[in-house]
Amino acid sequence: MNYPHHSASDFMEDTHFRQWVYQPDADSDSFWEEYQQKYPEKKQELAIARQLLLNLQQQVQSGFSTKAVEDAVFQNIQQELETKPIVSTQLFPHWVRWAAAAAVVLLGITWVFWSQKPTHYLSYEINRQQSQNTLVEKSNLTSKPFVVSLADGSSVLLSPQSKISYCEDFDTHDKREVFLSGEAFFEVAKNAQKPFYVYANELVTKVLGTSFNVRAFPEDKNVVVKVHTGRVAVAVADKIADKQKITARELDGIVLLPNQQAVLSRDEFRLVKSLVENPSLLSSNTPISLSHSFEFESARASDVFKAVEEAYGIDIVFDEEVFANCLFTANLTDEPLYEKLNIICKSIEASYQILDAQIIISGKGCHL
Amino acid sequence: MKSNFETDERLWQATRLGSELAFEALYRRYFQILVSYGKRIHPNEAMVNDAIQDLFIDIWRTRHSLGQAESVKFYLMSSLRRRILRLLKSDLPFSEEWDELPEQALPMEDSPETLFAEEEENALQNEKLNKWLEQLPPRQYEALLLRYFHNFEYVEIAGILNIKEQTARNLVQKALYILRKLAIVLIIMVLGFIF
Repeated sequence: MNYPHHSASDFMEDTHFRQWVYQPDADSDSFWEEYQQKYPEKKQELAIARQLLLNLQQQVQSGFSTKAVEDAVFQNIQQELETKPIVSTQLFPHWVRWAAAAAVVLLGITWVFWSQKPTHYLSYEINRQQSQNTLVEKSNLTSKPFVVSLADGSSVLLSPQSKISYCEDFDTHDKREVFLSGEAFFEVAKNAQKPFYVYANELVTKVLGTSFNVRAFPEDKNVVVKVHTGRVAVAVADKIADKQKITARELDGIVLLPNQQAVLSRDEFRLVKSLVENPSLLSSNTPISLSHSFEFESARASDVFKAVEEAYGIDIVFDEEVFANCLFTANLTDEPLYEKLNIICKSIEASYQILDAQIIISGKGCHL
Repeated sequence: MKSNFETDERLWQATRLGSELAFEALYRRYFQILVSYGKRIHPNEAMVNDAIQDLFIDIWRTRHSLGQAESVKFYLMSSLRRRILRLLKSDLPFSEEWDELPEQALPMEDSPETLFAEEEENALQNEKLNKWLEQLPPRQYEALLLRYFHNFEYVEIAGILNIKEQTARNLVQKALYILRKLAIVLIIMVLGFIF
């Protein structure tokens, strides 16, 4: 390799050189060792460059703060974001880029999983062992679901052939942990100070909001979490052996909103977010006519999509400009979600596809 | 600098799509770097923390309309810098804009040359170098850090400091010129130890 470095600044300008100084490894060590043997006359400039870089690093590191401050600032951020809920008013003006981004993510995922082999499974028993607390176990050997009430006010509707373990007194711990085998529907009491975790086979669900369903029987191929209300984060358990084969998406987790589900395939450790089979209207206890009107008369397409979006809590991605001239008249009150979309799309000559947990509308628009 | 195998770009992407965990990971990855960098722009640590806090709150709030960042680090550092300067401006309405100060007016006690002459020969080389670095004109020093520690291209440095690319190159070259002259003497003295 030709390395025409002459002065210290030539070395400093070289990304590989900097990489070696800041993060040396066996390869770069031997490369630069050889380099110095081959060009002894450059030793001095190299040493100067290296020393200067190390000093810069020292200077940056001397400005670091403590972990406590890092945590405190993040807590402030979380509090600020929780007190003022995020209202999304903008309807994705950059939808093309969004679609492209989603495609990239999907491609990335597919690529990683081709190279993956089944890894070790985690079971209810293994998960339970990670708890240092004394656990209470409830199992449902009956043929009907029953309710288990937890100390913090949360309740669990436990399905037949299922069992959960939990700590009788959450007060003394900084998180609320429940271990599940089988299926259960959770209604979790809000407590921002004590996140609620459900460990089910290899999947960890962290609750940020209120109610959701977890299905994880020992012999199941998949672990499924469906969200009813609120927000829920799911991730593959930390303890899974052979982590190298799992992508960060699976380790860092994904956030689920109402009507979304996450399915973890236990063979490949692939975590996929999608819509539940039959998305339900949000806040279904309010009369439909009051909460969500689906009677449209010469309504702008964007308003129609917005109404559907709000009623089902689902992201609909479309180009507002393209459909600016589209008007829509119909009564969709009694149609299920996908039928609503079929009817709308047919009338404005568009089509829809479901990507990840979003609905993407494409078409050429309307001419008046 | 990065031991985690997840790239900045993937974390950014996931944050835009609403992953709170990716958002936190991004924060954890950059908090210390940002504090350290921010304190160079203004030494008031509490204010720097506030600026970082606001920066991340805004990122989450506007995540739907955020673009695909070509360099996440560039975005974070340049945004933080702008925010701190804006805060400074609103706190001290009559103070001079830091960016507009002429180079000569910036604080610089002794020149490195005099300092070196006064030092004992056997003083710790490291401390000397650190001292010199701290005595560089702040803009030169900042450019030096951005280039050689943070790995930014000159065009990015120009974007962060809001100057022309050629000016960014000059800043770095000027700083290096002084440092190198001094470092040669030091290094010649210590070469025996290193090799």
